[in-house]
Amino acid sequence: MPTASPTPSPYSRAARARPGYRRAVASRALAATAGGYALAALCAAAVALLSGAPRDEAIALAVLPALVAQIAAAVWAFWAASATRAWLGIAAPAAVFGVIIVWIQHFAA
Amino acid sequence: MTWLAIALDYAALLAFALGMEIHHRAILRRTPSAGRRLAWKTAGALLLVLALIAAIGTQGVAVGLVLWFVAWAGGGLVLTLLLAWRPRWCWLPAVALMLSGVVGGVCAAGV
Amino acid sequence: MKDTGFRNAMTWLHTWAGLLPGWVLFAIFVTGTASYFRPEITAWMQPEAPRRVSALVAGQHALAHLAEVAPDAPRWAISLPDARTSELKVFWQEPPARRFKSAELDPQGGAESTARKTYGGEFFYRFHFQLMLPHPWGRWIACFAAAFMLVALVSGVATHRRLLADMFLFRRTRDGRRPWLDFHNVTAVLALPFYVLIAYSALVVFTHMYMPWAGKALDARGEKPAKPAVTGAVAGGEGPTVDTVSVDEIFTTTAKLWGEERSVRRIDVTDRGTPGATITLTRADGGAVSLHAREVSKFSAVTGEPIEQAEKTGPGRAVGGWLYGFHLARFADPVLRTLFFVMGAMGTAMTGTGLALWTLKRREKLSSAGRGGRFGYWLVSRLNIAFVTGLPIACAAYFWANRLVPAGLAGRDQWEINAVLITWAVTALHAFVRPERAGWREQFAVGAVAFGGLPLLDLATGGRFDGLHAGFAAVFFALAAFCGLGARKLSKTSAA
Repeated sequence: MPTASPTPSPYSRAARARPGYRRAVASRALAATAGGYALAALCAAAVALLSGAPRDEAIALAVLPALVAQIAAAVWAFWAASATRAWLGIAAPAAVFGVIIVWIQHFAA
Repeated sequence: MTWLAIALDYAALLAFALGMEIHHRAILRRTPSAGRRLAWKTAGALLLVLALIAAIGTQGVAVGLVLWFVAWAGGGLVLTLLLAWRPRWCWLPAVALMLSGVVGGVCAAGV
Repeated sequence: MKDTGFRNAMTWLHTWAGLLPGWVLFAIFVTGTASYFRPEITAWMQPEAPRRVSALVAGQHALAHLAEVAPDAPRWAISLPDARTSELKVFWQEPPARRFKSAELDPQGGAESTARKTYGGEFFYRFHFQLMLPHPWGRWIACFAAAFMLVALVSGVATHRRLLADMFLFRRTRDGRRPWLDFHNVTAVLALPFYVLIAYSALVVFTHMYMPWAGKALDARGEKPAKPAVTGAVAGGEGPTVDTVSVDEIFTTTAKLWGEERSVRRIDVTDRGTPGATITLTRADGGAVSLHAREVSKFSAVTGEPIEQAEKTGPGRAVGGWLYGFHLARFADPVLRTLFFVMGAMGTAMTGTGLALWTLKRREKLSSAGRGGRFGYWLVSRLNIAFVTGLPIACAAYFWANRLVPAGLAGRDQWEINAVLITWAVTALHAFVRPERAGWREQFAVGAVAFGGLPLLDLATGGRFDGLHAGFAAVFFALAAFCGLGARKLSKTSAA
């Protein structure tokens, strides 16, 4: 495991007593579900466009890494040291996929 | 031959269990040395390879691979329950599976 | 101890990602496990239907039937009997409706089937991904449950301190959470590859609904596929019939070529009455995992010439087809299918023990702290009873209703399902009004009687002495024994 991960737990008894705990967990949950799904959707679209394969093949291919991205994002959302970092960690790759999509849709031949 | 693959899978899991101190003591009533544990684990790995060969030989590569890892689960569950209640009977399923393989093979050859 | 922060976070995540979809996952595991024997369940539920019938004869009857009732339909489809089922179903389209009409036929005589109407194994199969909810809600919930399950698997592996060392370890201590946790771990770890593949492939199966964004992105580039409208040249009365080839002839030739062991499983006739009319024959599964590996022969219905199909290959379709095929497990022979069934049962046990562990852990906390949070405990513990014992009892009621609802009653197939719903509602109500321990004990006792009585009911109401009915009796008795043990354990030991 990378040593960069947070210690102590953001869900310990002490953490639960802190103000804003519920809001932070709700934020993480939203990042894990909505954020994770959005990341997967962008990943699927980007991979399908990048693959250059026929439609059926491109769709079948793109869903495979997209699902992995969704699960990874959901796990990351609760692993990250703070809710803000959870969102950033999902938004950054999502932005990369977004740029790829916009690039291919508008600029590539 | 399907039975043989399942039997070898089970035997491999049993060998791995014999490579662990707690199960080795339960089955054979003695504490294994480090070398002996390693030997059992190596035997387990070899049996897994044999099981894979038997599974692919029976069902082809595609289905054989599935048979190979699908048989771990059921075999492992039986082994776990035996280890908890009747550790000294652990070898029985392996023999029973082998026998079904032999009987099945003889029947198939006879028909 | 390395990295406790990570492990604590994963433990927390495993608790909640496992609990929230836990009941839905349990129901999906129960019905999905049963679905491995979908045709066999239908056969058990129609003991008067013939067994092991000829696909060749059945197909000829079906084609004759369609020619009679739907001569002008633009599309025909026939689902043929095989080694596992004697069901013969015909489907046809009446434009402009897109929906197919269908009929079930007697595979030997060709007339409308006289076997009792039942959804049979189809009920479990549909429940497994539609959850008896209006379309498409059930599918979406099932998909999210699968995604949660993957998160629970990843976090569960991260939580587990001794994954390999405790692989076969079940400690039979009397009290506390230990045996529950051991059993949860053993069932989870031993079949871990199966769970990962089954949850991941579930999402792959529903790609078009769950993750349509790749397709939408391609559409936006202008690669939109032409969606054929439902037209019917014949049905509209325009133009003469142009099909000149006898479907029967092509079917008969192919069926004889493929042989009885793995014969034609499905006939599709499309665009009937147009120059583009085709006949597609699909062979019964076998030998390969991937769904794309099915043997298919396609012919022009005008010339009778075979139509070469463009090989649609690529890594995505190869992997996707393998996952789809793995999920359905139709390739599996009886032994392999039984192993899949056992893993499904282990998944059920894993989900059930997981749900139980939440309440056991919470109970310890509640008794030590003596503070609030009792509502959550009450809700979870009662939902646990309603699902873990209530749903199997409701499934037993399905089989009971199959034999007790009169064969000739109008809408009897729906009454079998009503029996499930009513029984489940009663068990849920019972779970919520009784004290927890009594609820478990009483439902286990009812389950033991309900499952234990089924083989006897079967014998008394038309069951045969054969491998199929013996196999069902074995599973029913095993479930009854399990329920009986549960009831006995709960009545012997004093209340905690």
